[in-house]
Amino acid sequence: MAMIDTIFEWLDRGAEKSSRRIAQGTGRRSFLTKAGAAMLGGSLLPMLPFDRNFGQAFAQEGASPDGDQTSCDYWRYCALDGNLCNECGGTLNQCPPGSEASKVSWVGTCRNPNDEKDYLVSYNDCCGKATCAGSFCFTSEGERPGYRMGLYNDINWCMANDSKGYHCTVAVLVGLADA
Amino acid sequence: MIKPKLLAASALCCATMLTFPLMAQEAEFVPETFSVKEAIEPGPNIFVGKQEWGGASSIEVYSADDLTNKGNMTAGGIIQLLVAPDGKTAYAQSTFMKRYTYGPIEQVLNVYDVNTLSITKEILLPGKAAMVAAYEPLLAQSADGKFVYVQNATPATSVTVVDVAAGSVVQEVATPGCWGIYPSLEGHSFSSICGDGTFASFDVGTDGAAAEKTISEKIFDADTDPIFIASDRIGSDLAFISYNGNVYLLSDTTGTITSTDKFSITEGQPEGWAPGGYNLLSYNDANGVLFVTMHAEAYDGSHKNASEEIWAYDVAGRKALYQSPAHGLISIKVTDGETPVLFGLNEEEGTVVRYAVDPDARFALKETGSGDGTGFATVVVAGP
Repeated sequence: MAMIDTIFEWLDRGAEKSSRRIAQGTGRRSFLTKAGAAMLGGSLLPMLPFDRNFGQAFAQEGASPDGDQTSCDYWRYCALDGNLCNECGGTLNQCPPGSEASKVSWVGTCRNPNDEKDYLVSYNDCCGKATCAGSFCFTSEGERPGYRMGLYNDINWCMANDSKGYHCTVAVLVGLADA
Repeated sequence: MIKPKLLAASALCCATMLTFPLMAQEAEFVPETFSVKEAIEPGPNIFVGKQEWGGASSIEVYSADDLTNKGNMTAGGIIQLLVAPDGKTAYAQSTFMKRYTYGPIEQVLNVYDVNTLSITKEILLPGKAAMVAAYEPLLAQSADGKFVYVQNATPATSVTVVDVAAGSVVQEVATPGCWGIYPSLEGHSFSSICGDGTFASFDVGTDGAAAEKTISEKIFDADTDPIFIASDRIGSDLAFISYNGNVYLLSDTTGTITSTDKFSITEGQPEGWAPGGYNLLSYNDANGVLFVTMHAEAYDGSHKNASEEIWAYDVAGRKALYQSPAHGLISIKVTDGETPVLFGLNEEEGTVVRYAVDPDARFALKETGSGDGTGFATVVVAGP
């Protein structure tokens, strides 16, 4: 959790400086440019300290070596609030073609029953298209209200994208909780 | 060849336009006139925020007596809603995505005249307003109604101060790490819950342009006893409830949040019951009774589960009163008065449900009716 707290603490400090410049147009754009580099997003994921083997071992849709990835009970979905991207053209960690990966996300901590380890799961939304046809799942393990924004699943995580329409949600492993 | 359907339509058209006098003579037919009803039916109203993420949301208006739908006030997507205490004016924070899903958006504060279900004003917002499930503390007004406060999230959090009469934004107050808007009972301050367990309070002054900030001592632990953002006033205190069923009574009268008291509504009760839902608690002042949506067999992550019961709790006596079966509710609102009525939103059915409350039976609830068409709704407000 420390990593998440640090990210959002940093974000809030940045906001404190820029958000007072209301309605000047540049404040938010400038903020997002800076913030985008710090948030959990598609382009940043390879740099995060997670076990790369999991990307290979468990991101193969159809093989489902560790459970039914189309079921809301699938272990990665322990705090997911949204429609499953891997049922509408995407994968566990890829948005469907033509959509945008969200620049920000909320994070759950889910236990993998196969190795009994707790993983940080980034629930990125995919944006800019009509709601996808994938199953709607709603779980809230470890979820907190917006005062812990990085753990909050009620909000539209496409909020920082140019296209803010909600399409679907992926569940990307980004780290070990105890790491 | 003229098709039969077209022929029939033509005949009807001609009949409508040319043959009224003849028909009136034969059957004394009086044609109806087509118009717009000027105002809603009189009587107390219940307001429900019907939230849409892909199209127009609305504030549905129901009769408090029998939940007949009186019409709606139409808004943009992903609304937050607010009803003024007099029940005559309503507000919605609306998101208009110009192409529904992609490209630029516009966010406004809609102002409505409830009696005519009409928009009277539209105030352009900075475009940072939170797009989130509806909660009462995410759109609030100052005690005098002069300012409306809008919760922002980019995801960095802030509050936009709107001068309603002027129809303009005054300023954006940075509220880093804090969430929810709890206006003071006097003046122009509001408080907000922060992730480190403190509350921040902001005094924006009579012109709305100031931002004097104070921070409380640590009030709660967001890891071990997180509080819901739903709140109600108990006397002059702000009341919150935690995932574990602890009620926090907080005072904001000094300008800085202080703890008044804390008690549990689950202590001494059967194991496993916990609060769950969205706007999940409501207080009846006349009788000093707090109502909360509760579910059994609670677990980590069940805090938004719909109710199995509604618990009535005597706040002054610190004792449980009654646990009424009430299935599927995620938000409630109890009316003021000696013999209150409680309204709840049923998540599964998409309905608003009316319950009579019996003060002579330890505030047990009895369902007396329901209204449908609420869709995805998490806010219900009872007008005067």
